[in-house]
Parts: sequence; C-alpha cells; structure tokens
Amino acid sequence: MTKLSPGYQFPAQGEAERPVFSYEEIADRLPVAVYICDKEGHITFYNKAAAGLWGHEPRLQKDRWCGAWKLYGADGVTPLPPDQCPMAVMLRGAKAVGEMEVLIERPDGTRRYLLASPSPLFDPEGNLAGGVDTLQDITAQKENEKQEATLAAIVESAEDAIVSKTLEGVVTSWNRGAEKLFGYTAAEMIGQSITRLIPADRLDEEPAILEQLKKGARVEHFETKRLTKNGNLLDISLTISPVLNSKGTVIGASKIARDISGDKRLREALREREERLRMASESAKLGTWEYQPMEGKLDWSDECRRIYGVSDGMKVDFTFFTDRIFSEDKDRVLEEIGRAMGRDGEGNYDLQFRICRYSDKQVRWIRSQGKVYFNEQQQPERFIGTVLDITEQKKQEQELKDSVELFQTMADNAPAMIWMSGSDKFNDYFNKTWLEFTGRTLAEESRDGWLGGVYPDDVQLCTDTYGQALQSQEGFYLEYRLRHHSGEYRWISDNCVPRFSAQGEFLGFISACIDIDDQKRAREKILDSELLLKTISNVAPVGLWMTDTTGMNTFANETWIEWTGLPLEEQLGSGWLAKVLEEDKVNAPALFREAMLKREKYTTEFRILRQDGDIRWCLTEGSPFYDINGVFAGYAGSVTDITDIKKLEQRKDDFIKMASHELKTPITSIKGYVQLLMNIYEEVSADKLQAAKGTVKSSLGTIAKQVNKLTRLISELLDLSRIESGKLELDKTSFDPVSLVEEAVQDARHTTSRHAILIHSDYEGKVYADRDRIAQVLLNLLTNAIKYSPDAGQIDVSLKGDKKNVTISVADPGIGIEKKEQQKIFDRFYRVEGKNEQTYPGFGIGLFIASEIIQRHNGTISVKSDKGKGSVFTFTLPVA
Amino acid sequence: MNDKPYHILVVDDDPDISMMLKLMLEYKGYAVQTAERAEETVAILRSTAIDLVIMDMLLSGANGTDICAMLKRDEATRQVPIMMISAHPNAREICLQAGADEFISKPFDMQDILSKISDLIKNRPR
Repeated sequence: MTKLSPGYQFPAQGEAERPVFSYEEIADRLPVAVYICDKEGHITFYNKAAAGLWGHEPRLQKDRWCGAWKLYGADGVTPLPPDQCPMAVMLRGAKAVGEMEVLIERPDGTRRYLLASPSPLFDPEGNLAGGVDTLQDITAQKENEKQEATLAAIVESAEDAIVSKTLEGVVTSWNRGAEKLFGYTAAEMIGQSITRLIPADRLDEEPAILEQLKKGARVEHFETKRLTKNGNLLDISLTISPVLNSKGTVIGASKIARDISGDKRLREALREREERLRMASESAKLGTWEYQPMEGKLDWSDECRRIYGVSDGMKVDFTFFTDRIFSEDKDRVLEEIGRAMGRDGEGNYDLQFRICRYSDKQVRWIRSQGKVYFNEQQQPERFIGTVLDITEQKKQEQELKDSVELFQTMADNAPAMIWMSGSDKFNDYFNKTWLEFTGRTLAEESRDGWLGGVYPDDVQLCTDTYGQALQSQEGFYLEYRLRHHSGEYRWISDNCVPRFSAQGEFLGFISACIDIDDQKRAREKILDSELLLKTISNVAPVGLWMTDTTGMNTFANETWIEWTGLPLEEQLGSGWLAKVLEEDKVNAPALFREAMLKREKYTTEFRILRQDGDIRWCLTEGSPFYDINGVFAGYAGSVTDITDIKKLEQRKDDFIKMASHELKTPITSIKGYVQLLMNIYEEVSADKLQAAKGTVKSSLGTIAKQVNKLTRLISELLDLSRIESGKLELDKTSFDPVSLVEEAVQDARHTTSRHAILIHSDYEGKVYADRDRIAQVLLNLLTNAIKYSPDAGQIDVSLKGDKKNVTISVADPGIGIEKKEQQKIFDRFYRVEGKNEQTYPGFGIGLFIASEIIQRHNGTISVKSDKGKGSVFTFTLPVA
Repeated sequence: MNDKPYHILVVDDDPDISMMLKLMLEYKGYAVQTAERAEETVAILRSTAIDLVIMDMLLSGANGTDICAMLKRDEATRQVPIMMISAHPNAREICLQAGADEFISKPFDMQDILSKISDLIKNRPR
C-alpha cells in the first residue's frame, strides 16, 4: 500500500497482520471514481468507476492528468487542455485546490458533469509523490439545476406578481413582481395571510375565491383593487389557478396579479437570479466493512463507525447492524442482502437506504455497496463492502425535486403561454398553457421551435424581430397569429424579455404570450366600422359636421371641405363660418346657439361662397347627440346644397303667377262678353235686338275662341301634371305621318293670315305612335313658329325618313333663340324672356310637354337657331 | 244719358278685351276709340278730346304704367282720368303709384267698371 499511496491509512482496525481485503478490490468497489497520478501527472491507477465515467480506459503510465476523452470548462463550451485540468493544476501547486467542476465528453459523445477533488500525495520524506483525484458525477444534479433555474426564471422574471398560497390563504411564495407591485418583500409576506393585501371593503372576495379554487376552478381576469405596503390602492387583474399535487388534490393556489392601473409593458430587462443550490459535496468519506456470515463476525472501519455513530471500542454484529436500519427500509435491505448472499446471486450488492444513527438517533441516508465471496461449497464466506453517508446529497436532490415540481406546477398553471430559449436561440421550454393552445407535445415544439406554428405571413416579422433581439439582447413586443390546436390561427401578444445570469451573462429569452384574438378582432371590427363611417362620410353628397358641448366645430367631412376649399383645421371652432355670406353670418350661429340651449333640433338655411365662386344655398340640420352614459356630447348634423331646389322653387312660383295671369285673360274676356250679352238680352225692344245682332254674333264668336284658348291652357296644365306624376299615357297606332302633318298645317293656317306654311315631303311609310299626341307636338311647333315670327314670312315643314326614323322639322324666319337658351327651352317653366323682348302669351310649358311626348316615343327633339334669323325645330320618331 | 256722348279710349294689346269693352261701352252710350300700343295713347290724347282712358298695365312695347306716369306729368293730359286694368296680382299698388285714378283687376265685373267710369267722368265738362 505504500507503493500506491503513502499516507493513505488502510482501515483494517486491529487486524494488521492480515488485511481483510486488497486495496484494488476496495478501490474498484468505491461508488466514486478515483484515480492516481505520479508527480509528472502520469496516470498510475484508476478504478472501475473512473473508467465508467470516462467511458474508456486510459493507458497507465502514459496518459497524463486526466483519463477523459475530451474536457470542457465549467461553461460547457470552452475546451479545457489536459494541463489545465484540476489534477494538473493541483500538481503544479502541490496542494489541494478544492472542488472543481468539469465537463467531459465520452467517446460515444455523451457528456457528464464531474466534480473533481484532487489532493496531493507525499512520500515519507514529505516530497510530492503524485495526486489522488475523486470524481463525482453530478450530471443529474446539473440538469435539475438547469430546469430549476429555468422555472425560477419564469417566475422571477415575470413582470406580473406571482404568488402562491395555501388553501387557508397563507402566502408560500412571493416573486419579484409581487415585491415590486405590492412593496412587500418575500420575507415580509411568506407565512402571512394574503388578506393583508385586501382592502377592508373587499375582504369578502377572498372566501369566494378560495371556495372556487377548492372546486379546482380557475379565477380568470378578475379585476379588483389591492392595497400596497404604503397604503395605495391598485387596480389589478387577478388570475388564480389551483395548484394540484400529483394526486390531483387542490393544495393551494398560484395567483398572478397584473397591475392594470398603469400602461405597463414588460420592457424592463430581465434580471436573472439564478440561485444555485449548493452541491453537497461530501468528499469520499468512505467507510468499509466486512461480514463473515459463517462466523457471524462483522467488522466496521473507523469511517464506517463514524457513519453509524458508533464509538471505536463498541462491539458490532449483524443484529446491531440490522437494528440500525430505518424500519421502513429494513425489509428491503435484508431481502437484498439475502439475495446477494444467496446461491443464485452474483454476490453483488448496491443499495441506498436509511439508518438510524446510533449516537444521536438521526435518520441518515447511506449508500452501501459490497460483494460476497463464496467458498468451494458455494457458501457465502466473506461479504465485504463500503458505506457512504449520502444524506446531504439526498436532501438536496429532494429539495431540487420539490422546487422543480413547484415551479413546474406554477408555470403550467400560469394563464400566460410561456416559451423560453437559450443563448443558442433555440426554444427549449414551453409551458402547459402553450402546449394546450397549440395541441402539440413539448418534444414537437422543441424540435420545430416557436416559429413552427406561426402564421406564414407573420413568420418573416417574427424571424426579423427575434434575430434583432438576439443581436441586441433586448426584449420585444410582438403581435402575430399562432396556430391553435383547432387549426385556426389566433392572434397572440408575445412579450419577450432577455434573461441574464447573476454575472450578467446573456442566457436567452423568456416570453409570456397571451391570446388576444378576441380583443384584436373586436379592435379590427371597430377600425373597419370607423373606415366605413369615414368613407361614407366623405363620399356623402352632403356636408357633415360635429360640435363639442360648447357648440365649437370639431369635424367637417371632405364634401364640406371641398365646397368651402378650407382644410379641416381651418374649419374647427368657428372657422366654418369663414365662407358663409356676411348676410347670414350672424343669423345661422345665433339660431344654432338658441337650439343648443334647449337641446333642440337645429335647422336653418344660409348661403356660402363655394370654392368655384358660386354662391350656393345650404340647408343645415343638426341634432344633439349623447355619449353612452346619456351625457350631452355635442351636435352632429348635415349640410345639403339646396340651390337647385331653390331655383326650381323660384321658377315654380313664377310659373304659378304667370299661369294665373294667363288663365285670367280669357276669363276676363268671356266674362265681359257674357255681361254684354246679358245687357243686350235685357233690352226687350225688338228693334234694338235687331240692331245688336252683329254685336251678339261677334261676342259669341269671341267667347267661343276664348273658351278654346282656356281649354288649351287647361289641357297643357293637365299634361304637365300627368308628366310630373308619370301618368302621361300613349295610345299608339300605326299611321301615315304625312297626312298628320297636312292636318296640323291646315289647322295652323286658320290661325294666321300673314304666314305661308309649306310642306316638303317625299316620305312614304308609317310611324307607330300616339297620333293625337304627335299632332299636339306639331301644332305646338307650328304655333310657336307663327307666334315668334311676328314679321310674317314662310314657315317650312319637312318630312324625311330612313329605315329607322322619320324626321320632321319646322323652320321659321322668326326672332330666333340665343345659344345659351337653346337647351333650356325644353325645361319645365322656361320661357324665352328678355328686357327688350316682347313677351308672348302662354305658359311656356308647350315645348317641355312636346319634348316629354317625343322622348316617351323613344324619339329625339332638338333646335337649331341663330338669334334674329329664325329657328328650326326637329323631332324624330321611329318608323312602324 | 245726354245728347253728346263721353269719349273713352281703351288701350289693350288683347283685341278680344278691347273689342269687348268697346261693344259694352258703346252699348251704354259712350263713344269708344281703341288702341293696341301704349305709344299711340299720347298722340290720340293730343289730337282728340278724350274724357277717360282705360289702359292695360302690361302692354307690348312701352309699359302701361310708364305711359300713365307720362300722361300725368304732362300739363296737357294731366286732367284726363286714367283707369288701369290688369290681371297681375300686385298691379293695384303699382298703378296707383304711377298716378292712375282708378284700378280694376281682371277679370272684372262690368257693372263695377260702368259705375266707376261714371264716377270718374260725371264732373267733366262736356
């Protein structure tokens, strides 16, 4: 043993002359890996555990410092040269360097985290002879730590206050968000009742919430008020989820409180507080033991006795040992020992169990390993092994497991969907809420990453934003569509923040996402309807306006802006009055104020100077409007351009005056003659009657003529009213237009002795039309031709025809019509008039009626004229 | 009615109306002269002894009211009473303002015209 390890005390107590087992045997049975180097670092010994860890066997006396295939520093990325490994460092300094963490890679590619504790070996002269290193596999622990850190980060980094509590309302955890929101530190709150935060008037909320939680139901987005440490009332939104244990029983609640009083954004840099659980790194304080079943003899080494809490001199036997085993584990241990010593057993034994330490009755976890040696009769002769106190390790494993479970539960119960990525940009964590949303497994999500379910159109945005965030190591806020497990894409908000270690090292991102689809669609709907409203408002042929509660203008639509030529900002307040004519500037707003005081409908007319220089009559109508609470919010109204209506009204008024005058003239005449005739009739003497005979005759003739005139006027009025009400009916027949023209001309000739009316026609054929109506049109044109040719002359009526139409025109040598008047003469109520013109009796509706009649026959009517040189009226009719 | 008839001038561009008035007034014993245009009135009044003018307000060419005002300004014709007739709604005021002695709206009542005529000329020397 000096050969291998000077100073290493072999623990064979009192039996110096015969070692109970060889060093190599013991070393190979160690649950920890051990290897030895000489002072140059050449490996001179390693045990099986070490080779197992390394995944290969190094060459003795050749390989130096470390048997590992590949070495990495604690960051897991930087390769570590062998001469920087813990053993090499220790040998250079010739003193113990404490524990060091290294990462090794095995030839098969797997990686293990090791805790190395190299210590120097000295020869009897006190010179450095080499070093011994124990390697502890802490991979599982590291992974736990990583997961724990992940979940801790989720909770700690959340902007929201995340609090867990028991069903009695006692706070059991309190994150930084909660500290910031409520002002209490974790130390101040843990163990306290949650009611401390509840305002007195809301104390009844808590039992109701607890009642719901006990049923396993979640309380979502419950908006209420809570008290902070300094007594402020906060508006918060609470989401409370029951925390279930593995059996599904509600054991508490996790509560997420969000401050909704301010416009908070998760923009603060995430401060990673990665609390590393300290590794219990018990150095390999191994006890050894030997049991000889046939003699019933049990030997424990010093270290073994220390582990069991037994003093050096005290005698131990197998019964004493079994009495030390914790009752719950006893059967299992004895069964395993029996199996190891059994005939069929291979003799190997490796168990973890609890013992009750003799000295202080403490329960300790130990790991016991051993091997049974059989004699020739296949009877168990010797049973030798090691024992290690692993209580600390167990405790920490359990604590880790508990905290991992707690954090997992909390993250999974969080209402937000959470994903996390490492500094390598890949997502490695998605919480339950996320997975439930996407309907995929963690493995699928980890493989495809966060972008896998993003709507194709949004992927570019997400990729760009995330790439930039990786570069700048800054958080971001995004809204995008994510595939829901139902197959539809739903809008979510993604609030991503970077994670940093306590040393400020960038660790990746953590993000909380919320399904905002309903809100988003509601918002889009509002935007759509706003757009619709705006479009309607702007394309409306009327001006639209709105005022505030003081009557100041707050809105004018495009139509009004277009009319006035003033931009919106110049319309505000009283600006809209700028283009109102001076004459109306006082009245219009005064009437508005009067109406507004009584909250009555406002209607008035005013004139504006339009952008194009026209003066236009406007009719405005406005009504008060009220907000959703029924509070008066202002007036909204419209402005209609009524200029054309006004003009038509004016012409109608003129027409009515003119019509009554025109009707009175024949009536005056008729009435006068009738009175004259009555006077004559009253003169009874026969001679006088005879004398009056001429008078009577001409009177009756005039009466008849005036009655005809009256009849014509009244039939024109009736035609007008028929046209206006759309009741002008046509009685179409097929007839020869030439004979019609001849008849009409004959009639016209009777009314004039001063005009020659000639017919020019080579047309042979028929038209399909209302004969009487066409006669009316012709007569009207002929009457006009006579009337407007006071200086007499020749009137020409022409008929021409082609396959489709018959064209009839009436040409006179009269006063003619000015160009600008030519189109208007077919309008209603229009009559050629002028200061120096003679006015001609009639309603001025003859041409309008003629035009209507021709149009109803699908024909056209038009005029060509030069002032002073006569006119040609032409109309067409389709052939039969 | 006396031996010598009163002379009345009727001015109207509607021949039916002036003829009707002429027949009626002659029947009642007046001597009646007619004219179509207002311009003729001045010449007739200067050349002929007229006791009364009956004139339509709206005439082709010069306006009845203008002629009326002219006659009333003229020393030679001022004394001749003028009776205006019209179917126009606001004619009465316009005519009286132009100096007409009487206004009758169309359609008129013959008895009304006859009594107003006799009122206007009863004091005139023959």
